Amino acid sequence: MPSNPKSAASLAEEAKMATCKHALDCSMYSQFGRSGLLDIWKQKYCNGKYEDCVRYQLTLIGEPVSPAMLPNGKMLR
Amino acid sequence: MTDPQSYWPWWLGSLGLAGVSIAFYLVTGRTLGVSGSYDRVLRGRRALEAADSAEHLLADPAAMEAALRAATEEEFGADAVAPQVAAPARSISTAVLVRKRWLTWMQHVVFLGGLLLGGGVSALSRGELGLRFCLDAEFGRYVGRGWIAWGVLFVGGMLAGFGARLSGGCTSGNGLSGCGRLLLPSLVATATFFAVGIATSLLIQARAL
Repeated sequence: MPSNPKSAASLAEEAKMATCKHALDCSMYSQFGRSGLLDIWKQKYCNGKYEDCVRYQLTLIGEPVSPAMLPNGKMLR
Repeated sequence: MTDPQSYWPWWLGSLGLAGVSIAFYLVTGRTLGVSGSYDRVLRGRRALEAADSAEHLLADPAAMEAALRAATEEEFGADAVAPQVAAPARSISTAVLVRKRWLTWMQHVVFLGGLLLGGGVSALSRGELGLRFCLDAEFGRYVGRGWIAWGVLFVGGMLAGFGARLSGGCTSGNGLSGCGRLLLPSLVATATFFAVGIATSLLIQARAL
């Protein structure tokens, strides 16, 4: 049974609480926040070892980050 | 050589730098850094291309949902994926994304343009505005003349740019924004800039004497 989609406001609040300080501006984090299916990504990266997130690493050095790039560096196809 | 007495008063420069640093942060949400802005302007096209590459997924929530599910199973295994799935993935308009990145790019272009304009206004106020292709006599005495001087300038510029990116910022990014926030890497980088600058200056003077 589908769960209720989270509102933009609750997603923003959740992003502020994330360990990764880039979560608020991360387009992939907002995608993860839409579905319980994807919580595992947030547990491993956004609220876990966010330093391992390739999106985070690229942002730190000023490289452009594709909206389709996952935290593990792979691209969504 | 420009008479230092003809420069604007130091306190006016301090107020200007502080005002620009604060205004830059308020407008862009990022701390000021000239080499960083230059870098972002040069990389702007690549950023837009990165947004375009995801266009089909961003425009289609169902495709995004399927791609995320497949990627999650691939990364964590099928057991990690909850049986009941959920809300449709959010569709982000590519046009909105591209417009946002274009606006960010323009902010940096305007900032860099403002640097040129500000320098021009300063020179104009002293009656020194104009194009000059002859290097200063002092520069020629210390460093060399003709093509040697231009070569030294070119290599020096390359090294300064390389060093600025290596240290994550130049004298504005590390010196103004980083030291202002007491960031240790910026304090070290700025101390290094000044120490090497003073040492180089002393070496050149010693060689010229």
